[in-house]
Formats: sequence, structure tokens, C-alpha cells
Amino acid sequence: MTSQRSVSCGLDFSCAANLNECLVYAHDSKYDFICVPLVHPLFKREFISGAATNRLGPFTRPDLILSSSDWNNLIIAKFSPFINVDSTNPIIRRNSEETLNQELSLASHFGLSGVTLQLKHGINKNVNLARIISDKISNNNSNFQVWVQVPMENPIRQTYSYRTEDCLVDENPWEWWNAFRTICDYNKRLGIALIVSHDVPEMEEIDKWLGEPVRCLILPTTIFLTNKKGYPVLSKAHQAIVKKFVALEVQFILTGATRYQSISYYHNYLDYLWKGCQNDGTIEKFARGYEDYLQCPLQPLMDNLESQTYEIFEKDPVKYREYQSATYEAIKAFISKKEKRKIIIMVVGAGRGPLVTASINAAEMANQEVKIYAVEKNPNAVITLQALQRDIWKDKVTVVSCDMRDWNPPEKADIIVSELLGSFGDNELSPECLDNVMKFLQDDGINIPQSYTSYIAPIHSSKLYNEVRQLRDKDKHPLAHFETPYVVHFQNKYDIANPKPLFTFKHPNTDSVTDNSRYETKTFQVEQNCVLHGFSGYFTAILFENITLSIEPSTYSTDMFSWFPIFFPIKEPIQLKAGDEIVVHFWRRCDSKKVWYEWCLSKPIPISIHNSTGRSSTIGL
Amino acid sequence: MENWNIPNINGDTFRNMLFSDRSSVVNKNLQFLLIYDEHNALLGGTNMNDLYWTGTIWHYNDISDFTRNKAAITQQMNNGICDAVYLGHNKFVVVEDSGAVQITEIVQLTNEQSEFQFLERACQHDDSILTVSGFSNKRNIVTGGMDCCLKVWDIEDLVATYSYNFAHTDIITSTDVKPMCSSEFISTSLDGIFKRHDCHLLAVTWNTVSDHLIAVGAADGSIALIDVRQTENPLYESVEFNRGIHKLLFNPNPERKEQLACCSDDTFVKVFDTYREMLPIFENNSHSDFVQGLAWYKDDLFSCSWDGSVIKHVVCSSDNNSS
Repeated sequence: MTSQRSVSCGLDFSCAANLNECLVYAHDSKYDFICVPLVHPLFKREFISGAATNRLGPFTRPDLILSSSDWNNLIIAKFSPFINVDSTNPIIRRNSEETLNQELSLASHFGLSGVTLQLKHGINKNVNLARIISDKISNNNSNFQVWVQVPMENPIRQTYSYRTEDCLVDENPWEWWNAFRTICDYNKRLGIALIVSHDVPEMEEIDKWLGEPVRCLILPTTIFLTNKKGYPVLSKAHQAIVKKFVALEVQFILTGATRYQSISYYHNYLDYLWKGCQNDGTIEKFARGYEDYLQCPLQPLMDNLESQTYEIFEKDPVKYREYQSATYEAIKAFISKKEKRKIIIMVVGAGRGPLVTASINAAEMANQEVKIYAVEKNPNAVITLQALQRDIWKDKVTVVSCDMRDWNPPEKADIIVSELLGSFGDNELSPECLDNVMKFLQDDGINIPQSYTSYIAPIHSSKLYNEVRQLRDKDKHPLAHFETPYVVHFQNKYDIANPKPLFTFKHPNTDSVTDNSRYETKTFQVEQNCVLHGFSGYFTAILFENITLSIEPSTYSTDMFSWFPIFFPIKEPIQLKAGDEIVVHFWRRCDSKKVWYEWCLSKPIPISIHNSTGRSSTIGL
Repeated sequence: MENWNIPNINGDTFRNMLFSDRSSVVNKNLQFLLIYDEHNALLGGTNMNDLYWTGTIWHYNDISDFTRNKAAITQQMNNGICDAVYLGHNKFVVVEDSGAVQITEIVQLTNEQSEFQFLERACQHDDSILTVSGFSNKRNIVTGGMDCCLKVWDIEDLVATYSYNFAHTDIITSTDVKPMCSSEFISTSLDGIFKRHDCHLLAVTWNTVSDHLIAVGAADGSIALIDVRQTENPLYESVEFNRGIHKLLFNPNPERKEQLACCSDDTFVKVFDTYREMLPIFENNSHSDFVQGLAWYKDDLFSCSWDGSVIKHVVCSSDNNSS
């Protein structure tokens, strides 16, 4: 990705007296699309009775004024402002329903890619609207997205600031949206056009929107300030909001009267801001295109990795550097206490050899003779190891083509190095593998890694909920897709609470009876109303003493891209209130052939065991 | 042959057509009617169904005939127009669905000819303006619209001296000013705030003589008479129409100050006696589409409609009517 992507910004028109002129004006000012009413906003229609039901002639402009590609690419439709399909008055309701259906049908006819409507109330005044919209986007007669406009702040606070009475209700507009999309059953074609308010809400509140399908930020011209040179700019606080949403690839809509010589000034500024916010770090580059994309975790124990997979992971700039340092420190620890002799290092699961090279480097740095065994079960990777051994490593390295669990080594090791960790630490069965090699580690031998711990955190992400939902496989248990952990690069999510450590494994495991099954209960406090869609999972590992690897956000190993986090879904979204407690139970269960996780909730409401007996997902030994 | 349109490229033919060659469209959707005196009246309308949603303003120097071709001035506007208010016999403010406020003067060119001269123009509302009212000082006006914002303007230099952003949480539908006062005004909105009523409010008028009496119309067809000194409970409230109230207007004649003219989103024009529990004193149903504008002159009531017509109604005094 070399060239910077430009901002995508639309221009909102109150009325659009001349649609073609509006398009030319917007295009000349560099805007990408426009928002316009399809029917004159004041043109009320009568469908029930009276002379006005018999109006002759068209009720609006014909499709012919634009080519169908222009309708499709350049126009977002707004609905008539008087529509009130939730009125308690049956006449208003029926006329409103007919009016809305007429305009929705017109939007389909024009082949628009999007329509937009504004929520001004809580769900008690929007249920029928939600049903009509849901109805329209659930069938396949139309293709448009529905952008639901939701203000960041409830305007009623400002409204009552002019009044002597007190404002009694001050519902957060997020509640309006949350109920609306729930009624619409999380339809994927429903997105948010978030109206950026003049007053900026708490950052915590804004973060919650990051877990929602925000497609667009609506920027009223009234929130812009004038800089010293006389051009429109956003305040620091508003810039911070824009920056937060850049990662979600949002579009913008500029609305309101222009306060400057040209409306293009706003676009220029937004484009500048957008380009300045692009995050082009190592991980962002590596993960581009994989945002919120669900992957099944690798099972390197059961399946042999492909050359390409090895190649990608060998490129990690951090992981092998840390392994090398850890091996170096481990060697030094031996030097201080050992009589001078060769140190035996075994790399178990050597793959194509990066840890072998790291071990050789470490030994050279420590000026210590070593003997290295490179054990690998994948016969295809062994070919690579053998080639490297013959031409580069020479007699320092012995390549062993064997599953480490079946190997019978000729001598014991001082240091065993392995990279068997998954996104959730133990989920690629590192504990089971390393237990099997403990027998050939010297009593004072060192295992790298020495220990690892998995972490979980509750998350709110309607995007991931939807992604999981559509993975339904008709050959499997109907809930199998909700009982499977996924590896995913999180983007569109809100962290309900910080991660907490879950399962820890230490190596070498010196317990008298080895038991790698686990059961832990974790409690999380809910700070604000939101929705629980599942749990994110991370790990940290202690390679040796103070040398660590981590994908847990608070201790993340900068620039390391070998692991995306893991996601444990739940079957049904759970509505949470500020002050609620989430109590989640996680099990790691094992039998002779496989390992699997089970999870459930006991608070705020009990939720049945997921993946009971490993019916939906297991990791094979 | 060459004049024939090729049947399967109707769309291209249509788009490439020179729109200037189009026969002019009859502007049917009349939006407001203002009568200053016998020799000065304004009629405004917006094409809501044509290719271009543009407005037209007609100036009449004779109110006996509102036929369009009898207008002294016919002015096409670039945008749709929603409401207007007189600032004097030859000066008025018109508000547009583009969000603009336009001050216009009527200039006499010759004895026979006159034209509009556009003076100040300001575009400070962030959405369509739906309503404008003028204070009795003829210097301040108040506007409101789809941006939920109320603005009070000084028309000398057309500056919004007060802006009440989110004065309402929904579209502002109507405003009126307190008679003989240059600061107090009232507004209605779809948000229904102001009354316990959980209903869109669409129209408001302030009695020109009894400066505590207002009438408010709602989307359910109800009209409430309210004493502004105590707004908790309406003086009287009743459902008078089957559709939402579009416009309410008290008779400015002090002797007939109790008369309240009303129209709704249907074809009826009605007048009620507000001093006698909304006793109906006049009803007319001769329009064939929504009635949008009302104007009193002397004791006659005029109405304009989306059927394109202006009708004069002779309203007897309530005493006559009841006797």
C-alpha cells in the first residue's frame, strides 16, 4: 500500500432544487456523493381518503434525470421529515407507512446504494419504523444499505438549556440505536451514520461506538472552528474523534450551511486530517485486509504447516530476536554454574529452523560451545532443516525427523527451546507436547518458554457477532459456529473491561501428577451500558526470566505480528447495564485424543455451556 | 426522420434535452398568501413534483383576482420557497428550503411595470427554513426550520442576533410573535415539547389583540387554545380536523379577534369562535388539494392550496352566524 487513500466525503443537501446542479457543485468541490431527499421534503401525500388521494401527475422527479450508475454511486436518499410510522394516531400512522414505503420503493427502483434516516427517539417511538426497515432489508428486492443517523449526544440537553423546566429524560442515543438494531436482528445492511455533536462526550462513551458498525461520521459545519489563516478546522477533541474512527474506514458527510467562501475548504481540511491519521505501523501493514476476519486457529500438531505459512511467520521482526536473547541469557546462566563443557540445546518443533539459527547466534554471543538437536515432525520442513544443516549449520546441529513425543534422545538437554504457542497460549497444545519432552531435560535444565498465561476480556462487537452468525455450517451442530474460537485481528470492537489472566502453564512441569485441565472463573465490572458479544483472548509468555512475549494489549510486544488475538463467541448478545458484573467460567478439558475449551456465564444472566464435551471444536493431540 | 427520437435511448434523449426548451410548468403547490393591503399581496409556491423544485413569487397590486397571469410581478426563484413576511408595503422577507433568508423589495419601474429587487440574502440555517414571523417593530424577524434551530434576525444588515441551536429536538414547523412586542415569540415543533401532548405540533398563531392567547395545532387534527401566562392546562382543546393542522390564523380585526381561521392537510378551510369553545362559524371544502396558506383581509378570508387556486371566503361575524 504505497499511495495514501483519500477521504471519502459526501455533501448533504437540504433540498436539492436542481439535482444535476447539486451533483456538479459537489463534484467540483471534491465531494464523492450527495445526500438528498427523493421526494420534496414538504410534499405530504394522502393515501386514505379525500380529494388529495386523487392527485394527478408524478409525485417526484423521474429516474431519467440521472444515469443508473450515477443514482447508484452518487446518491444517498433521505426520507420525508414528517413520516411518523409510530404515531398512536392510526391515520398518521397509515399515511406515514405508505409514504415511507413509497420512498423505500423509489430508492430500490433508482438502485441506490444507501438510504439514511435519523433516530430522534428511543425505541418506544421507533418499533414500527424498525419493523418496516428490517422488512425492507431482509428481503432481496433491494440492495441498499441503511445508514441510521444517531447523534452522539442527546440534543434534548441543549433544548432544555433554553427552558425554565428541567429536562426529565436524557437517554443516551446509543440506547436508541442498540434497541433499534436489536429489533432489526443485527441486520448487516444496517449501519450507523454518527452525528458528531458540538459537545464531545466522554472518551469512554465514544469508544463504545467503536464496537458498532459505524459507516459514516456526519460533521455539521457548525462544529468547525476558524484557524488563523481563516480556514475551517476541527478542535483537538473533534480531531481525536475522527482519529479513532479512521481505522474503521468510515466515510464522512458534511452537513449544514457553509461559513466560508467555498464548501471545498471543509473537504480539503478533512482530506488533510484523514491522511495524517493513517496508521501505517508494522502490524497495520501486515494485517491489512484481515481486520475482523475470522480464521480458524492453526492446528500444527494435527496438520503440517505449508511452506508459505512458515515463511510469513519467520518474518516477524520481534519474536526471534526475543528468543535469541532468552537463549543467550539461559546459556549465560549455565556458564556461571557449569564446568566448561558443551551445552546441549534441543529445539523441539524446529520448523524451518529459525530457532536453530537463533540458538547458534546466542551461543556465539556467549562464546559458548553448543550442540543442537533440531527435532521436527513435518517431513517437508525436515528437508529444509537438512539442507541448512549440510550447508550452513554443519556439525553443530543434528536434525531429527521425528515427533518430539516419540523421540528417544541419545542424551539429555540443558535447554529445550520451542515455539508451540497459539494466540491463547496453550491452545496449540504446548503443555501436552512439553510434558512429553520433560523426561529428556536435565534436572536443572531450562525450558524456553518457562511459562505462559492466557488472558480473556469481555468485548462488544456487533461486527464479530454478525461474522460468526453467518458461518453457520449445515453439516454441523446448529450452534457449532458459536462454540468455536476464532483467530481474528480485532478492529470494530469495544473492550468492556480490561483482560484478566486465565490459565497459566509452567515448564518444566514438576507436579507429581501432570494435569493440564483447568477451570477458572473470572469477574468483570461493566462501566457503561453495552452489549456482550463474546470474549477476546490473548497470551503472555515468559521466555526466560525477564524476557517476554505478549499480545495482551497492556504489555504488547511492539511490532510483533505472529499472533492475532483469539475470539470466543457467545450464542446470544447479552444486554449489559453499567454496574453489572460479568462472571464467566472457562474450562480447558482434555482426554487422550484431544483438548477443548468450554465456557459459560453465570452473571449477569446464566448462559448455557458452550462447546460442551467438545461437540463443536477440539484440538487434536 | 431526423426529428424522431430513437425509442431505446429515451434516457439519453431526455438528459440531453435542452431544458430551456421545456414548456414552463404550472406552479401548483402554492405555499403562502400574504395580503398587506388592497394593493399589495404576495403569493408563493414551489414546484414539488417537477424536475426542478424551484419556487415562484407573485406580487399582486389588486387582490380581487389572484389568477396567475394577473400578477404585477412574477418571479422565478432558484430554490423552493416556504414562507414570507411583509416588512412594509414594498418590502418582504422570503425563506427558502435551501436554508436562505432573502429580503426583497418591490420597485416601481413605470406606472405599469414593477419588479423585485433582491436586497440582502443570508444562508445561516443548516437546513430548510419552514417558517418566518416578523415582530411589530418591522426590524426583527424570527425563523425556524428543519435544522431545529430558531434564529432572531436584525433585518437592517440581516444578521442573526440570536441563534437557538436545538431549540427543539425535532423540526420546527411554525412560529408567531407576540403582538406589539419586539422580543417574545412562540414556536412549534414535531418534538411536541411545550405541551403534555405526545404529538407533532404543526401550527401556532398569536392573537393580535389579546396578547396572552395563542392557538396551537397538532398532527392529530387537534387545536388547543392556551393562555401563555399559564401553559400547564389549555383553556380549551378539541379535535377539529381529521388531518394534521397546517396553519392557524387569528383575524387581525380587533372587533373579530375571536375568529380563528384554520386549514389542515386536507381540503377544508374552517373558522372557529375561540371565545365560544371553538364554535364553528365557517366551513368551506371547495379546494381539491391540501390548503396551505391563509390570509385575512378586512373580514374576508383567503386561502391558497396545492390545487393551484386561491379562494376568497366571506366570513360573517360570529354574532350574525349564531343569531
